[in-house]
Amino acid sequence: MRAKVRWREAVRVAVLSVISLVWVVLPVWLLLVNSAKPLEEASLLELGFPKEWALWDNYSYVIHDGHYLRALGNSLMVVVPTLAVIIVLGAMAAWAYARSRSMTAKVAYNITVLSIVLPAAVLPTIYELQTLGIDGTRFGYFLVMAGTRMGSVVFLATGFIKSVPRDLEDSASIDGAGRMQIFIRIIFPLAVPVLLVGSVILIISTWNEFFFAGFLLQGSDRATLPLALYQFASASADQSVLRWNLIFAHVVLTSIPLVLVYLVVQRRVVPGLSSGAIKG
Amino acid sequence: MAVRESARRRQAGWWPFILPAFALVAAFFAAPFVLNLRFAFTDWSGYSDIIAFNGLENFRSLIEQDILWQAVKVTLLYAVSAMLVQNVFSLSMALVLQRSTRINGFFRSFFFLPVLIAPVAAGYIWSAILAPAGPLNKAIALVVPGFDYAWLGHGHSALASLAFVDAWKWSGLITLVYIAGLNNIPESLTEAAMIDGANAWQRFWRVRFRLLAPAFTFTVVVTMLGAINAFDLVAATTRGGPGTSTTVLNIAMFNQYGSGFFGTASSLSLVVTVLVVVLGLPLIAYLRRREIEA
Amino acid sequence: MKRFKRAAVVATVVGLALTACSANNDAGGTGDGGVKADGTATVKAKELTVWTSSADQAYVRDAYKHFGEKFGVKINVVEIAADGLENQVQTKWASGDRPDLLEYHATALFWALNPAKNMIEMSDMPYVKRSGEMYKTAGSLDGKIYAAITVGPGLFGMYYNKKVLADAGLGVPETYADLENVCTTLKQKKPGVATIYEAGGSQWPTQIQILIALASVEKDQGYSQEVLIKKATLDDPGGPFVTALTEYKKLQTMGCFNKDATTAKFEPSFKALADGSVAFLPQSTSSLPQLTAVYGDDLAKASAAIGWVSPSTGGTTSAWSPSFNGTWYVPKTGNSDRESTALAFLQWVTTDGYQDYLTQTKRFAVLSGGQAATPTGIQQEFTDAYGSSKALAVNANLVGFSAQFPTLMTGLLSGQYTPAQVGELAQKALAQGAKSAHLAGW
Repeated sequence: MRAKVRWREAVRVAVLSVISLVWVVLPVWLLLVNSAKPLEEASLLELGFPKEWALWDNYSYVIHDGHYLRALGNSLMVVVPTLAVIIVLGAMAAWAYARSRSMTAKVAYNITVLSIVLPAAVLPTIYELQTLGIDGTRFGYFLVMAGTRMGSVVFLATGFIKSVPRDLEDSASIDGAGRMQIFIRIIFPLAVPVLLVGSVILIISTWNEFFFAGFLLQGSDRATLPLALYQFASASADQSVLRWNLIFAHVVLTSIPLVLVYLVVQRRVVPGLSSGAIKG
Repeated sequence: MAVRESARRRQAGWWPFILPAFALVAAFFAAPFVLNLRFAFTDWSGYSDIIAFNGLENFRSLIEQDILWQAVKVTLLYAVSAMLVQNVFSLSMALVLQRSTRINGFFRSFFFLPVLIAPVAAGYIWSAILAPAGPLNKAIALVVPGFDYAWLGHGHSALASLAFVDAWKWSGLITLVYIAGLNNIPESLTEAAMIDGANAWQRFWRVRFRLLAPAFTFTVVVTMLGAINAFDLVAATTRGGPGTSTTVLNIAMFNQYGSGFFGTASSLSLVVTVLVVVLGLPLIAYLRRREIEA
Repeated sequence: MKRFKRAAVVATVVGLALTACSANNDAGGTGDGGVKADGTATVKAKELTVWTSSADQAYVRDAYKHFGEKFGVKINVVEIAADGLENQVQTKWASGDRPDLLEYHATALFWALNPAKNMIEMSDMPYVKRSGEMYKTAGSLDGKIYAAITVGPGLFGMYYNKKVLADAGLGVPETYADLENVCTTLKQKKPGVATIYEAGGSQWPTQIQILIALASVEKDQGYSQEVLIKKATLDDPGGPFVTALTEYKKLQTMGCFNKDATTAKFEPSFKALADGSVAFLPQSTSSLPQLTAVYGDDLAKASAAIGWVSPSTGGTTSAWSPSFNGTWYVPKTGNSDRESTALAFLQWVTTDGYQDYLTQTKRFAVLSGGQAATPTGIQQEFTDAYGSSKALAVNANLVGFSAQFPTLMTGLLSGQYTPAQVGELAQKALAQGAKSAHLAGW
C-alpha cells in the first residue's frame, strides 16, 4: 500500500515537472540565457548556453545606458506610497462599507468596486492633472494609481470584514474605545491576511503598469521600469538588428525586484488565500 | 428618540473613514470616466478646438470602417479563449497541488513566476519564442522538418497565441485562488459522498465543483474582464496586427488617439464599458445564483 | 444628514468633472507671447524644453548641444518612444502640454495639432525664401507655413543587390510590373533568393512599395490632390490605388516576397540584402546609415555592392517625403522669452550653424546657401533620382488615410483584406480624417 502511494506521488511529481518545464522553465530559461549572450548570438534566439559570455557587458550596459537604477528609483517612488495609501485608506473604507447601512455608503462602495472592472479614461485624467499642475510628475501618477487601484483592496477587505462577527468591535465600543482606536487595535490586525493578498495583487499590478505611465510620466528621467524597458527596446533605430540580448537583460532586471518581494512574502500569502480570504 | 440619534451619529461617524479613499476614487477614476462619456458623442479631434456634439456620427464612422465590430469581435474571442484556457489549466493544477505539502508549495510558487513578469516583458519573450525561427518552431521541426510557421503573422494563430500568452501569464494566480476555494470545502462533504459510493469523478463534479462556486465566480469574472481590458500584451507583440486581426478595443482606441481622433477614441472606450456591463453583470448574476444554490 | 452626505459626494464628482471640463476648454489656448517670427528673435531664456524621438539621428541631438553651449541655454530633451510617437505627442498635446520646440512630421500629420491655434506662423522667417518649392506641399496649412524643414527629404525606392541581378542576367526594373519578370527569372536561376524583402512585422515598411508604384501617377496628374478634392477616389476599382494594390498582391502570390514577410522586421533586412538572400529591399534613403553599417560603415564598399532604383507604375519615378528629423515647430506657449529663444535656435541652425549641421546630415541641402558634402556612391544615385523624376509621396497629405495605411497593408499581406476592400477602407479612413480637419467638400 505504501509503495503504491509513493509510486503515485512520484508519477505526480514527474508529470508536474514536465508541465512546469514547458510552461515556466523554457520561457524563463530563454530569457536568462539569451541575456548573457552577445548581440549576434542572442538574435538567433536559441536555447543553448552562450558560446561567448557577455553577461557582464549586457547587464552593465542596461544599468548605465538603460538608466536602470533611475527607473528602479522611480518605480519605488510610485509603488511604495501607492501601496501604503491604498492599504491604509482602503482598509478604513472597507470597514465602513462593511458595517454602515447608509444608502450613500452603498453607492460609494459600488462606484469603488466598479473601478476594478471599468476602464479608466486617459485623456480626462491628463486634463485633471494639468489643472492641478501636476501633469507629468510622479506625484500625479501616484495619485492616479491610488485612485484606480483602490477598488480591488476595498473589495477584498470589505468581503472579509463582513464575514467577521461584530462582537469584538461592539464590546470594545461599549468599553468606551473610539472608532479610530477600534480600527487600529482590532480591525486592521484582523484584516492583515486579506490585506496581504491585496498587497500582492496591488504590487504586481502597479509595478508592471505601462499604459498610463506612458501618458502621464513626462521625460525619460521619470520613467518607471516597464516604460524604461519599452523606451529602451524601441530606441533601436541605429541598430541593424533588434537588440534581444539587451532587451532580455532589461526584462530580467525589471522582474527581479518583484520576484524577490514575492519570495519573501509568499509564505504568508498562500495561507492567506487558503484561509478563504476570497469571499463575497 | 435617543436611540435614533445615536444610530444616526453612528452612521455619520463612518464618513471620515470612507472619504479619503473615496475621494481618490472619485477624483481619479469616476470623474475622468464621466467626462469620457461626454466626449464619446462629440467630434473632438486634434485638428480643431471646437468640440461639437455629433450624436452617433462617431459610431457610424467606426462601424463603416469596420473598426468597431472587428475590435469587439477580436476582444470577445480573446477574452473567452483566455478565460477558458486559464480556468481549465488553473483548476487542473489546483486539484493536483491542493494539499499544502513542501513539494506542492514549491510548484505553486514556481507557476506563480509568470504573474510577476510585466506584460510588456512577457510580450517580448513570447515574440521571441513564437518567431518563425524561434525555439517553438525548432522543437516542432524535430517532428515536422522545416517547420517555420509565423504564429504571430497570421490572423487566427496570432489571436490564439496572444490569448494563450495571457492565460500563461495569469494562471499561477488563478491556481492559488482555486486552491483556496478547494480547501474551503469541508472534508466531511466529500467523505460523505465517498461513503455514498460516488467515484472520484462524480465526487468532483457533484460536490467539489458545486461548492467551488464562489471561487469560480471570482476567477471567471476576473479573467474575462481582465482580458476585455487587455492592452499591454498586445502592444508589446503584434500591436494589433497583422491587419486588424489582434486589434482589441483598447488598441483600436489607442490608434484613434494617435490619429488625433479623440472623439472616436472616447467612443471606443465607451464600448469597452458597455461590453463589461453587458457581459459582466449577467455573468455575475448567473454565477451568484449558482453559489446560492450550492 | 444622509441627504447632505449624498449631495456632498455628488458635488465632489461633479465639481471635479467641471474643473476638468474648463481645463479642457483651455486646451492650448495660451495665446502667443507676441514674438515676431521674422528672423529677428534673440536668445532670452536660459532653458528650453524640446520633444524628440528616441530614434533621432545624432545630428539633431548635436544641434541642440552646440546651440546650448554657444548661447548658454540648457536644453531639456524630452524623449518620446519612436514606436507610437504620434500617439504620445497627440495625447500630451491635447492636454495642453507644450514644449518650446517640437520635432514632428512635415506631412499632414501635423494638422492634427491644430497649428493655426497652437503654433507660431513662420511664413516670414528668412529660411523660407531659401527653401524653393518645399513649403507648397509640406509643413504648411491653408497657405501658412508652420514648419522649419532643415534636412533634405527622404526618397522611397528599393536598394538592390547588384551581384544577384548580374548573376541572373537581369537589368534594372523600370516599372513596378517589371518586377514580375524579375521575380520569375530569379526563381528559375536563383531559387534560394527572395525577390523582395517585405517587413510586415514592422508594419510601416509595407507602405513603401505602393508609394513607389504611385509616384508616377502623382507626378503626372497630382493624384493625391485629386483625391482630396474628390475628383478621384481611393476605392475606384480601376483607379491607380487599387491597381497598385492588386499588383502588390500578385507579387506576393507569385512567391516574390520573403517567406516570413508577415512577421519579418526591417532591422535584419539590410544584412539579408548584403548576403544576397534577398534581391530588392524597399526602403527610404534615410536608412543609408543602417545599410552602410553592414559594410563596416564603408560607403564605397556598400555602393559597389548595392544600387538604388524606383520602379513606379508609369516608369522610374521617386516618391519623396519630408524628413522627420530636423523638422521643427514652435508652439505658442505664452512665454515670450522661450518663444524667442526657440526661434533663435531655428535662425542659428539655418545660418551660422547650418554648414556644420548640413555636413553632418550627409544629405542634399534643402536650403540654399549651404554646401552639401559631395555625394559619392549610392548617394549620387539618390541625388540623381531627386534631380530627375520625382513626386511627393501619395500619403503625405491624405489625412486620416496615412495613419491607417500600414494597418490596411498588413491586412492585405496577411490575407485579411482583398485589394478592393483595402481601397474601400482607405477611402473611409480618408473621409474620417478629412471631416475632422474640416476640409472643403467633406
